[in-house]
Amino acid sequence: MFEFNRNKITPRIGSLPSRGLLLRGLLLMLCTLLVTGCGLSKTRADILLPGYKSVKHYLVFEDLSLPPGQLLIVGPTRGLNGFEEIKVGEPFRFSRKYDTRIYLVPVEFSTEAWNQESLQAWPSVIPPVSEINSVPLISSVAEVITNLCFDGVVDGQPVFGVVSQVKLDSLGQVVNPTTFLLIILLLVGVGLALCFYASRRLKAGPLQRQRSGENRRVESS
Amino acid sequence: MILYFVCFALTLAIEWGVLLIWVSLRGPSYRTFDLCLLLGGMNCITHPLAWWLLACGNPSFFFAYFGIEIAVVFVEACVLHRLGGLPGRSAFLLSLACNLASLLVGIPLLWFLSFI
Repeated sequence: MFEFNRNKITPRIGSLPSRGLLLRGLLLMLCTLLVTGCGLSKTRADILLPGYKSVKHYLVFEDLSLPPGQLLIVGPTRGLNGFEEIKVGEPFRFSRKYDTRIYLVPVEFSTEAWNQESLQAWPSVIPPVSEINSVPLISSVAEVITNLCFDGVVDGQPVFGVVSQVKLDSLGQVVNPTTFLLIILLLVGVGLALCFYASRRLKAGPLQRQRSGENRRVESS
Repeated sequence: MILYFVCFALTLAIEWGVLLIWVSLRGPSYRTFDLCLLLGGMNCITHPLAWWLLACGNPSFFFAYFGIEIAVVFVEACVLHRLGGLPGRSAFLLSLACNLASLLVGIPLLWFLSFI
């Protein structure tokens, strides 16, 4: 009669591998690829990925009470022109590399005159935020949005403040580090319980399990 | 958050697949289910911790990445050896194969999907 040896996992040396198990393993991997292809088209594929990825950092004014007859323009002082008017609730990009500045100009200031030279004459400041342009590849952050407010004009210079900053994932959901930490703790707890349960089962061995199963059957009958 | 769980499920699926292939090559055993449980439990511990450590990010990310991966391989090998009762060499090889598979499948998938 064949007897299992719990310290040995190769009871049939030289025999062919179990085709059923092999097929199940291959099927599982195939399903994995299929699920990945279908479900991850907008996400990172795996697991623990090395490197960094670029993220978009936007600024937005949710409330903007400017002095009458004035408007805000944002644009770079290096590189190509890319000036645009700042409007309430409309996010705009900025860059430390191109030294983006926010200009306070009169409404009459012609749109055609929006260039780096002509705007130098008007008061301007750099956005009061450190640019976040890359995060670790496994981070779920895809966008950073910083809400700014206009605090007024001091010594002829516009002053801006930071109201809040949110990090969003590629699905537009807010990335909350506390929730993630709780989930990590929960998973670790589940993992410890599973390891404990599996080790108990493995230590018990098949004969004891068979006996306990028989005992249960006798008790139930 | 959904993305994390998808990645975690993917890792589990790949590692279970490797385990099933490994078991089938070594010969059928009553311990297959228990080993799957153990591997799942280990991943529940190592994967989120590794993810969290890497998500913190630092300038030497690549060193941290491979350091953590190597640590994970050794931790999983130790658990498979101590709790799973596998011989030390087999435990290490199985752990290495599982993690290598998830790594080798994951990175090309990322590159592939980044083009979609």
